[in-house]
Amino acid sequence: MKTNQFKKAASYCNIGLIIFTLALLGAAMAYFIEVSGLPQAESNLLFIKPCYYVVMLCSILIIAKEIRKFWAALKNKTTKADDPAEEIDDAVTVSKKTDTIKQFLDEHKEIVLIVFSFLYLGILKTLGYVFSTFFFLSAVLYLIGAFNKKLVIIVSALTVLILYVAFGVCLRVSLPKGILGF
Amino acid sequence: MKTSLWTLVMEALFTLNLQAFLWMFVGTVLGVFGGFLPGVNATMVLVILLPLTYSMPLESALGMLLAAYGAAIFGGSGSAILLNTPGTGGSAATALDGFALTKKGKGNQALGIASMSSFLGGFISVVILLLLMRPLARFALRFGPPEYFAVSIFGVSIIASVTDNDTIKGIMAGVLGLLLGTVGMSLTGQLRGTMGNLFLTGGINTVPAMMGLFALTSAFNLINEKSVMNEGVQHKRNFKEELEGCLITLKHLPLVIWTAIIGTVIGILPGAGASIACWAAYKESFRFTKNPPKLGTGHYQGVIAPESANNAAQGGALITTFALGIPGSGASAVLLSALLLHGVTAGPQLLVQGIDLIIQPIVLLVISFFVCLVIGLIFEYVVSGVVNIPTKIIAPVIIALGMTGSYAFRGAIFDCFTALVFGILGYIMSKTGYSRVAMVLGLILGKMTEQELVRTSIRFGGDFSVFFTRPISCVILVVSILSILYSLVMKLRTSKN
Repeated sequence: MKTNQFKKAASYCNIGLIIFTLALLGAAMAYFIEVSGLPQAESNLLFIKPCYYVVMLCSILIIAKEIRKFWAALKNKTTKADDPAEEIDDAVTVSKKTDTIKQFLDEHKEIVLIVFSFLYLGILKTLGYVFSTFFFLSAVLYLIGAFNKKLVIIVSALTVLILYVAFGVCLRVSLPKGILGF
Repeated sequence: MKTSLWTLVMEALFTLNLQAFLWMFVGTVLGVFGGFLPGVNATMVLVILLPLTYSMPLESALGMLLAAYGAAIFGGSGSAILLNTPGTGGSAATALDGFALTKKGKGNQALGIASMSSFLGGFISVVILLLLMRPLARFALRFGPPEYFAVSIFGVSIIASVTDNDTIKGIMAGVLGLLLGTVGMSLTGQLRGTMGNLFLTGGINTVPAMMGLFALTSAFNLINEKSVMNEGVQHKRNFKEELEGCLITLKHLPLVIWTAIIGTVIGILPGAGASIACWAAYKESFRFTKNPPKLGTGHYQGVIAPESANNAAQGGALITTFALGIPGSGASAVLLSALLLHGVTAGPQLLVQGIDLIIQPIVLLVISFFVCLVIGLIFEYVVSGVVNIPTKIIAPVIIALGMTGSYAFRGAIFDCFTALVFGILGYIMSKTGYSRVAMVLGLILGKMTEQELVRTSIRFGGDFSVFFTRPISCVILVVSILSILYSLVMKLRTSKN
């Protein structure tokens, strides 16, 4: 019961926001500590120090606001705490896990996009601009867009051609050439 | 005997030859096209065109380069409005309300507004350039580290205005941006936050960072949506609506003129430029509306103001370039190189003894604005159909385009990684309510703010009262502080209502 109350109260505050804010604060802190250890710290910290204190203050205010929401929700014990419809059926959870992952990825296609973007940059130098971009677009369009293979190939090839002509030919940008030479 | 300016302009107009006109046309077309492509800026276009000018007479060479210079900023608004992917740094503010207008089905009007605002802003700044080149150049010479720091603080004060939803988060994002702007080599020669990476020695490159925070974040958000447009809204290419957009701009002439003046003044300052001018003007757009709507919800003034200012900044930059011989940006440096190649040295002497050499190119620049307007409207009419492409196709294409644009800047895959990291950061920020706009502003301003503060400290022995004892910096700082207080008071009033 108490766990349910805790979970209910936690849903009123944005855990993701708290974690992200702490991550930003951590990064600012790490930068501040690094700069403090450099020679001529006084000159280096002239601007960075006040900025860091502002970041720290803002982080505290943001996190405090979320914690206040959590405590307010926790104190309000009569809201949904005893609702039987909210009880979780453990047996059902296990069998739904596979569907949930597929559903999750389907609803969060951006995760697939991000992963493929990293892969794209990973192969860019080796395979070269033309092939890497073609494979990236084809893979993403096929997996996320669920288009037929013909459309995927046409769109990918056309996009690569336009980008190559625009940047490589017209603007004479030296695009990465992989092991195949282009 | 001193020839009057009017006589020189008339002489230049009547002695224009076909060759100069044709090269101006080439420069304009390439500039619009290059500016439209994310990651490609005026500097890149000018660098490509510079070798072509070796055998040209000075007037043709400078005319072509100036036309490309103005057209690149002009072209940057197209991708900002249609795809939320600013083609140049000066178009970042345009993306906010421009893209919102596209989603509402008013993309054609937004394109027309941007084109006319750019034209008018550029035209006004050239008029100011011709009339006030000498006194404005003398004014620019009075700027020292305290004045540059005050200008940076003025830029920082804009952060308070753009943090619409949650002020604390906006301030935090802005100040984090300022910290990110200080990464790299300090004035005293220390490397900060580079993690041993050579590419970070010069600091975080703002082009890939903006590419990530705007374009890539937009792609990550778009992939889960059915269409770029809002539900139930369709985009149809309509040239008549583009022309309507031009007329809408003409109805906001006071705003256009005021933001053109702001852009010209900011453009005079070396290093400031279109990236800062567009945000300063965007902030001003709210002063000209009776009931200021929410930021980025698609109001015309949010497109008019930055577009007018970013083109006007080019004119302002030319004052410093020609009158003082100081390149305020990479593009200005290329222009100075072109002058040197033809045996002309920019500086005060040029205004006294050789002003007729630059009058004809400036006249060509004005003509190129008219050409830009026509070409821009036609070009944008043709490409605007891109918003009807399904998001599952547009999103990966935007990523490919963004990565290519990031790479094109200096040929480093590291910049592509920078764009991707900022894209992920921007995506999380958009989900947690942090302002990406504030972070971009901070990133642009961080280096300049810190450097000028340190320079002031060194030059004046740590005596910071100099900010208030020097009249120019005092005025700018007081205006900035009042501006921040005004924004915060207005926000408090709005939240109480």
